Amino acid sequence: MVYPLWYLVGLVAFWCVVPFAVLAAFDRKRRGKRGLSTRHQQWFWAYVFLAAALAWSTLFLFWPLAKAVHQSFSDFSLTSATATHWVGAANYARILADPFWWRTVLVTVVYVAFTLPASILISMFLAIQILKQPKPVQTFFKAALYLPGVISPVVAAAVMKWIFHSGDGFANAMLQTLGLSAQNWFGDPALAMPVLIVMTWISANGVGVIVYAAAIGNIPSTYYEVATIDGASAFRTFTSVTWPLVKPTTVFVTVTGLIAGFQVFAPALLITGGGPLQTTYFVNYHVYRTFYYQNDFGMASAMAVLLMLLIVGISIVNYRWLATDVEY
Amino acid sequence: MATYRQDRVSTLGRAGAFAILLLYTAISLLSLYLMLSSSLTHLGSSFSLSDLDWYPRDWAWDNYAGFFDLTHGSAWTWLRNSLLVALVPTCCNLIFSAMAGYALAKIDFPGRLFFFWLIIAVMAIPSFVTLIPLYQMMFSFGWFDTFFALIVPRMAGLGGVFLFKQFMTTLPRELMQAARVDGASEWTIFWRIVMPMARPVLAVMFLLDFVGAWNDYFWPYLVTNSKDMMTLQVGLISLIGVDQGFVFPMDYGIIMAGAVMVSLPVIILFVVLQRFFIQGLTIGAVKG
Repeated sequence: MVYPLWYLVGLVAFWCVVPFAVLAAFDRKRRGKRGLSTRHQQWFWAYVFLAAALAWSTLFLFWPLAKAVHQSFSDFSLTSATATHWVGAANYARILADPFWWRTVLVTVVYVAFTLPASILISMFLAIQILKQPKPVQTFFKAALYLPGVISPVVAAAVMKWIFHSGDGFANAMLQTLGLSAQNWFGDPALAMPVLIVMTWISANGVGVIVYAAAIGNIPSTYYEVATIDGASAFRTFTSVTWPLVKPTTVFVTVTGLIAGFQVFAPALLITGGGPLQTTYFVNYHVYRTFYYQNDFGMASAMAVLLMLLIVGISIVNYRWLATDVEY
Repeated sequence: MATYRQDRVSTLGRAGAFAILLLYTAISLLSLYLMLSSSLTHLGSSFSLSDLDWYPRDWAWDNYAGFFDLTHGSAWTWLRNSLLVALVPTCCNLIFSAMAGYALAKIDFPGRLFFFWLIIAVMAIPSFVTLIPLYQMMFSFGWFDTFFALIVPRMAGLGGVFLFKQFMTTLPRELMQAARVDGASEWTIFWRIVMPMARPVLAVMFLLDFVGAWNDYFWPYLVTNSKDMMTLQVGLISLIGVDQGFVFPMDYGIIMAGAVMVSLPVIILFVVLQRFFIQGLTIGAVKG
């Protein structure tokens, strides 16, 4: 139990010494000087400071990442009686030919498409309303809107299960008070996903609001004065001044939102179990079921690698497409 | 610099915006309020509509007693585990990330740009890719169902380095040069000069990290299976169930009491220190 800690000790020592030694040796050869100059001393300390972070990420990030990619080309499985084989790209071919995989991708894309743009617009709208308030009121609303963000996914799931209980939950009680008929909520294929989406609209915008309030608050007021003199409407002011000037923030929120959105998992695990009729069967949930219940580590790794490629690809496209440096 | 539009908004516009904000905030916090009020109501395993109230009708404090007196595990043990598993890695990670951020921000060395882009790139790696090998690793290390699995993997890493790097870039270089001229070692400069100046960002990172670790449920759920190794989150999962679609196995009141107990530490921490949270979120996200 204790011996793996020596891996970490070894890795820390490695990152302290090896890169520095190689770099310093090259530098000495190139410059033809001897001895440890001040400049090399600085290099040494830089790697010492980085050593722990790099050692841990080598053992718990880079190595598992390499292993996942490697494993995705094999049929490694805990339950299979046969030895592990190198199967080439067979896992990938099987996944890409599987309609169910594409269904989980579609479910995830629908979730992201309905949550992310809406959350950007809601955040911007709320941020603008907040900036109209005096400072103490601003602080209050920023904190209040961020509060749901510190609640754990498990608690959120427990509360949602309670509110949207198919029989006597709060949502149904409200409907009946209004004279409407009770719904089956998470038991209804047409309602489960919309409920998840609407819940993010009303409770998951804290970060966006705070970030946009800071960004919009940083825009010099002269821009708005000019817009007023030119007789621009509020809508025109927004499209011609606010929106272009907060573009870097929008890029940030979009990219982080995409990365998080495509990894959506908690609602499927804790609330719906992927159902009803697999309408909330997200990609990550498919990966989890494949490795945790079917013990098919090769297939699950291949799926996770595909998801990673998707996320990395989308992030790069987004930076290219949206990233233009704004000067003001 | 004059900012946005505070002074140019009419009283009516401000009041309208205030009303909108109040309404949205009320809807947004409604589920938390319902959690609190129903944790203090005797609900049973199902309840009829007439039982539904906007306030705790019978002040059922025994729901909380019930949560700490479950038959399948002790919530006190889970609480202890949660505190341990959130505090220890967070404190270690804080120091290691600060060190790495300092090196990237203030020391000139070959490879600096590479490591900077590396910490940006790893943000796009979904956690599920590394999860499967890590899960296997816990078995081969013999760490499954021990504190090692819950604590060691997150004692350091690249996730928190970016924020420190961003903050430390803003510190004046002359300060460190002066100390160097006075013969201070690099470690002394870091520990005695940089760390005290980094107090605000240390507070931010501690809060973000602690809340993240406290709220993490999936890794503890995967790598523990005995009732004495569960954290509060996993304990709550054991009450609401997983992978089973829509069932609610036991007393709602007790589950809601559990949910309140799980949320209370982070809510208190947030309310006390919310200005740090808000500061922290805008480092690195906003130009300027």
